[in-house]
Amino acid sequence: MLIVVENLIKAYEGREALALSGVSFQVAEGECFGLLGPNGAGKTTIIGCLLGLIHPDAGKITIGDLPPTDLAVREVIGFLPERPIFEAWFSARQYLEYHHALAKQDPSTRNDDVVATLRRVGLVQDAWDRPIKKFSRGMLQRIGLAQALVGKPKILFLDEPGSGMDPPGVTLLREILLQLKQENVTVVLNSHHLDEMERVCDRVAFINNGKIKETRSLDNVPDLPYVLKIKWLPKSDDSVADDTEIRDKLEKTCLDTGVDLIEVNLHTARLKVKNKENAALVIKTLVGADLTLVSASPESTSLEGMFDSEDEKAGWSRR
Amino acid sequence: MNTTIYANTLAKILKHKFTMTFIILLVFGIPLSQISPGSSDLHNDTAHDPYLLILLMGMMVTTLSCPFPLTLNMSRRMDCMPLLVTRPIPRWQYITAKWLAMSTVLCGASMLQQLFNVLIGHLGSLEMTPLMILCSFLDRLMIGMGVSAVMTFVYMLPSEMAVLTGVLAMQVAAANHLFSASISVISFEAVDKFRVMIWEVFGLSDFVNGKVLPLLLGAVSQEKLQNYVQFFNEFSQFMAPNINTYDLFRAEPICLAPLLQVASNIALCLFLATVVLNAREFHYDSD
Repeated sequence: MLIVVENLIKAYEGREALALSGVSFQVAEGECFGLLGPNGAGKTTIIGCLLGLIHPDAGKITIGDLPPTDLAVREVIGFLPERPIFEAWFSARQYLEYHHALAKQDPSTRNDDVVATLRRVGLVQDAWDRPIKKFSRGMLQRIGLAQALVGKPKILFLDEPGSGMDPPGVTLLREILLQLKQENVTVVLNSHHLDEMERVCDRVAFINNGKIKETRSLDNVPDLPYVLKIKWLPKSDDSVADDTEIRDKLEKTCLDTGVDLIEVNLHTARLKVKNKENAALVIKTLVGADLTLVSASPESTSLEGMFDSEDEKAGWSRR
Repeated sequence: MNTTIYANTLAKILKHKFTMTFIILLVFGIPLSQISPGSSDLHNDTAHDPYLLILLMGMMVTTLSCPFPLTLNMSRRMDCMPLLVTRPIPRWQYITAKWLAMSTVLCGASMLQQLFNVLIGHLGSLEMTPLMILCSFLDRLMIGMGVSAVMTFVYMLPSEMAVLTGVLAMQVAAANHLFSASISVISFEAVDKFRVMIWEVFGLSDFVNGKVLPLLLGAVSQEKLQNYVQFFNEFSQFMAPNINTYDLFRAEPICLAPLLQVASNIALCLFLATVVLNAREFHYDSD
């Protein structure tokens, strides 16, 4: 195992509860490991300990058999903090050149590496030489990700990387994470984007009150209930008659297929299906009942279902 | 020493408009103001500007965000540092690079001021020999390096409150140092005389020591207060020792021990700064 964390304990001054209470896990080389839990669960503290930014009171961390503060470890890591603050007088290009030099990369490839990284994070070329202080939140997040990548890390620690990004940014982030997996880069990811976690992580750890409640592999996610959102085309101009007819059809279909009808709005409805098979059945029945479906998409993911079940077990309050 | 950190810090300081204004005023404004009619004779009788130390400190205090990732109006300063301290740079190299960058600016500004003094022939009423002029540059170099080392240590303290307290202590120590710095060029003996004179002229010494303090604090507390004052005197000496290099070079045999004192003070400050940086934690509650 590349990262080994054993029985980590950490208390902050002035707080009664332990921030970390015997956390143990392992991450293999090339694995994408997700940390999942409510706010204040201890996810960022774990990342801080892994980076040597926080000193645990007890327990042991090794990264490639070395302590996390070893310079050899720092040469192979990249880090994006949750709320990075940049030296705003730099341009994006200068900032990356600076971090390329700090990461002890070859100066002869600096320009090429920086340009490649700026392209990789999708920062528009127009902004490359603009001072960072003029960047929007999403652009800052991209430049933060770029500084984590510019040192060509073998291990990447990302604390809420999608925070503040626009939807194309989140999609790009997902693509980058998938590319990194192909490049055998080990990623430790702390995110609230469950969809993003589900798509890129190999395993997730559910954390609450400084403890890992469960670590699950996402290779074989259980087929849990989720919310399906459907959209249809109206049949006639008489919307009142149309609505009544469709509502009747929906109620009947849901009753027949064992699906919970959560709500019906104008040309949309939300249904809680039991599993994927149940979703396929309800869609097929609705089409058979002459409903012109435009789209049917999951509103929540299976991981969210797992999160919900953990939530119920642990008594977490949903955000 | 990490040249990337050094170059970046230096560029950042010199890019700061306020710093540049300060340097221009320091280098050109103060010498020009001192040769104008009515300027203080005290200034003119000294080899180096008595206010130099406090001005240099003031410059760095007002531009805190330049040498270190710290702005006092920002509630969190820890988010910038983690990116740097997780890079493969030994902490002592980080500290040394920051100190050297700050020393470059402080020493550069103070030595440029003296150069300007020499160029305009403004060296006070003392008749300065070439060796005295050369030594005045060395004096400034040592003051700049000493102040930078202490400030490096203060800026590494783990919380904003600690930094502010440290900066305040430095300012008080520098203010205390101001008088001795202005007189030291004449003779060391005069320093004590000057201090005694101030106490006597204002009649504060007997009144405060004899009447007020015993009444308020009692005899033991009075001793404590004296110890605090003594500590401040020693701290100000530590920060920028009053060394007249001209006297050292003219002494027979040449005495270099005070220069070693400056070097050891700087080394101690940088060592402590490295220890503090290693011991610090970076998290939401750390500030």
